[in-house]
Amino acid sequence: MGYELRLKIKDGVRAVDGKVILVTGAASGIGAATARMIKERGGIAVATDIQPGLDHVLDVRQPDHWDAAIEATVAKYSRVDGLVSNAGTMSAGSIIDLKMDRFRALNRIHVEGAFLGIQRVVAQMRKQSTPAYGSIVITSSVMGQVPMPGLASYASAKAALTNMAKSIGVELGRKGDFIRVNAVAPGPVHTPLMVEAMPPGYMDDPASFADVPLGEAANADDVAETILFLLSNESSFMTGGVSVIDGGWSLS
Amino acid sequence: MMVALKVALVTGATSGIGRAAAIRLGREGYHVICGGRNAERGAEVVSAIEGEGGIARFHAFDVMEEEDWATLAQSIISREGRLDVLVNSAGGFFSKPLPDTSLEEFRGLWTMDVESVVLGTKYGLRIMRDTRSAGSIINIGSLAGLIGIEDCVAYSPAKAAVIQFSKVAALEAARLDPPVRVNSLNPGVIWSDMITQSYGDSDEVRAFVMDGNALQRVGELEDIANAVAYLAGPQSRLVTGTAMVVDGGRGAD
Repeated sequence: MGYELRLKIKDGVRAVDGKVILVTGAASGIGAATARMIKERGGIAVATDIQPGLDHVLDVRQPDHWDAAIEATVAKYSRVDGLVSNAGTMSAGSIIDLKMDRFRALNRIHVEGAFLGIQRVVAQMRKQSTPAYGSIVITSSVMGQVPMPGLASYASAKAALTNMAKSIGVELGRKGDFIRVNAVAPGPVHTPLMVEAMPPGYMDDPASFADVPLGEAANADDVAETILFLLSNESSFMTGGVSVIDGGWSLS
Repeated sequence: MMVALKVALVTGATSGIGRAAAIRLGREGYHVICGGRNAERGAEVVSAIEGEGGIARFHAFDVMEEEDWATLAQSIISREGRLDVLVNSAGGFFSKPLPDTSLEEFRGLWTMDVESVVLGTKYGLRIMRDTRSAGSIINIGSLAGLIGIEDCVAYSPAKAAVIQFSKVAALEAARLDPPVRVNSLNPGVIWSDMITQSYGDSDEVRAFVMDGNALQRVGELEDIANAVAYLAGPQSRLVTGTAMVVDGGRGAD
């Protein structure tokens, strides 16, 4: 058997034992929760962000930042087993009035950033073994699947990321590698990004989430739990998929 | 008797995905009620769970009979007093071109694959409501319910119904106090009795099944059991109304 499948129960609890996983946008929100959870469950998180203070400064738009972070990670741990392509930003406003440079800026971070990172991480995984093994998780959004007036630039960037997970996941699998690519699609989440993007007090007001069937916005940890599942061998037959974490928000 | 352990009910637990899910939930520490028609195979699953130190009991019933569901619901309310997880896995399959498929065959599969899930979700929600259990219901659909599959003129639409039904049930279940979650879990082609009984158990079939997957391996029962454990537990506490796909990338393109 060329793949890891037979699991001991402990793998369900400490799902990422020994795996070296690079996380972008790890200074706050979903990225910070994911990096912390990887460490709690026996993995090695390489936490990166555009802000200094973590393992590496990584502006996802800069190819040389990616190269440096991957090189340093391999020098220290001799491999990369996973990538959480999570760095993102938000830009609200009517798309008709949106300045082209703001539209481009958002796509450079989300779409080009993920593209640059996945390309480089896959190349590294292929150096490690044949076939190559690994798991890549992209932070997308339910807005990549459902329309969101006023957030068209963000929603269309997330739609690109959702399809990127599907297309690259299928492509890598068909080439014989066991590098899996999946997207997580959160609905409303309590993160600094959302607090900043929404009107003051909005995220703290339960009434804001009255249209979420389960009645609440997710915490960063709720999304991180699903990312951990997708990084682990528990999901070793999942690729090109989208895991929704939205309390039922996108149902109706 | 009220049990302190979390309680899971799995239909179709005597074979295939249901059996794998029951064993996995037993390992996760659930008290597992294994539902099925064949008592001999039911006893085997119970002893497999007990052999790993788990707790289980077998309940013989027919998922297509509403009276059987009512009896089972009463049994769980009075014996265990709670229901944390329900996996509606029982179902059937056949492959035949449409011109050769009779209405009886179509109805038969609809009853087995759709009505069983409707009844299961209905009584599962009643048990969870009456015992105030913050439960998770997992309905086993299929990739065939999301994409078209040749010669699956009954199976494919039946599984599509399971997926859509689960979304509606999720909205209703969210209104309960405490809320209950409902998701469909949709396997691609999984190497199981269902496949080998229909297509044969040969290297050629295995190669064909594998070839359609993006990931170059066949799907195993454990792959689905792993996803059941994810949808059952607190790690997915805000996941509801989703159609989760575990298919090795088969359906993504």
